[in-house]
Amino acid sequence: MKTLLIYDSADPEARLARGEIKKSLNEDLVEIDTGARPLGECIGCFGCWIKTPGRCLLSGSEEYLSSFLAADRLILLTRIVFGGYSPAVKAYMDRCLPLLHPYFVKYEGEMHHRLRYRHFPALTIIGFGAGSDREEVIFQEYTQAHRDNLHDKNHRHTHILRDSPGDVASWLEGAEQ
Amino acid sequence: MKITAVNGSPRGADSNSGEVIRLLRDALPQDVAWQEVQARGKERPTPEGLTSGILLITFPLYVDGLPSGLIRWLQEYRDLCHASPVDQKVYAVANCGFHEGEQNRSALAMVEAFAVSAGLSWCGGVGIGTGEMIRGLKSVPPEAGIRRPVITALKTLGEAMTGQTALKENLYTRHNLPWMVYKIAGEAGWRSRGRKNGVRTKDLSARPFGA
Repeated sequence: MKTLLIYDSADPEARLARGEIKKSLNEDLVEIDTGARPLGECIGCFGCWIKTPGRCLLSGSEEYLSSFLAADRLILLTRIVFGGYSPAVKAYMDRCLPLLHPYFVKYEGEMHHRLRYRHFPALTIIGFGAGSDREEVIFQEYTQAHRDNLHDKNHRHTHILRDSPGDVASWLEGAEQ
Repeated sequence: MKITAVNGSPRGADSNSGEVIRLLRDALPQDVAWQEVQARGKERPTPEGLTSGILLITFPLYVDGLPSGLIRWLQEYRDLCHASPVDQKVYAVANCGFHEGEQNRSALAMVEAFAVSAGLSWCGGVGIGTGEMIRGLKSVPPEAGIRRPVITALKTLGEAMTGQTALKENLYTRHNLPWMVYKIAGEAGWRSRGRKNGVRTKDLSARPFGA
């Protein structure tokens, strides 16, 4: 199984949790460190749909998109900011637009974009550092919406780290069973 | 009354979020003072924003949440508020390209979470579906049936801002056309825009990174 891990080394808690995740995974792991390789924001030009379908007009995302599609599982490790992802991690998610097709489909009762590719990785989302209980609730709802966007059926695969980064390893093992 | 209007669209002033600000400027009394700022790329908040009684945040939905540049901007604005606490009311308008305005619900909740963490007063927001039509219909009279639900929701928001009161709850709306008509028209629009760029319809489905 191939796993792509996206995390931000500029965040000390992300570094600790990343270490635990690496120890617990006995699989082919590719990492993207958003701190070392920040990606510019998506400018909403839709060039990836109407000029060069499937490719972003901005530089820097080709290797990332290729790794994304090659993975069986994507682990997103992020600080919870206002109930969502950190800006560095969100920039990577926003730049995924070339993986979607401009056409619409109905999924789980709402309009979404068709997926451009047949295979997408299963999404495992690990958040930490929420500013309040309410932000944790928003994070749960938000990650579900993100999954629906990618037509991902792994509804239980959001985890919030509260005490120690060590608990991420046991949760990952449990989630795989 | 002074309003700081934050445009969170990476497309800048020439965007649906920019058009929302223009519509609200038209709906509010002429004596309101407006300060418009962009929250994208390398733009950073300044303490001047804290001098307004109202902070209005408009933005497009990006992957079900806030665009990354806006998240960074809000983090820095929160830090300014912690350094110099202010009594400011926060309103927001999110728009998305999907049919359902309700798909903006998590993004509006995030703006609320920002307001709470910055010590500001959350007063509610509007989530607009079919958002790509906001700019596209700007030459159509506001009272036209297709625009009416969106214009009415923005008027309700404008009244709350004028009275400096909170909405009872977030409002979700969209332009007045059925789901299937929006889907068919939207997809025809993508094909047309592709052709203008020399992209054939079948190539809209290209898979440059494999199957």
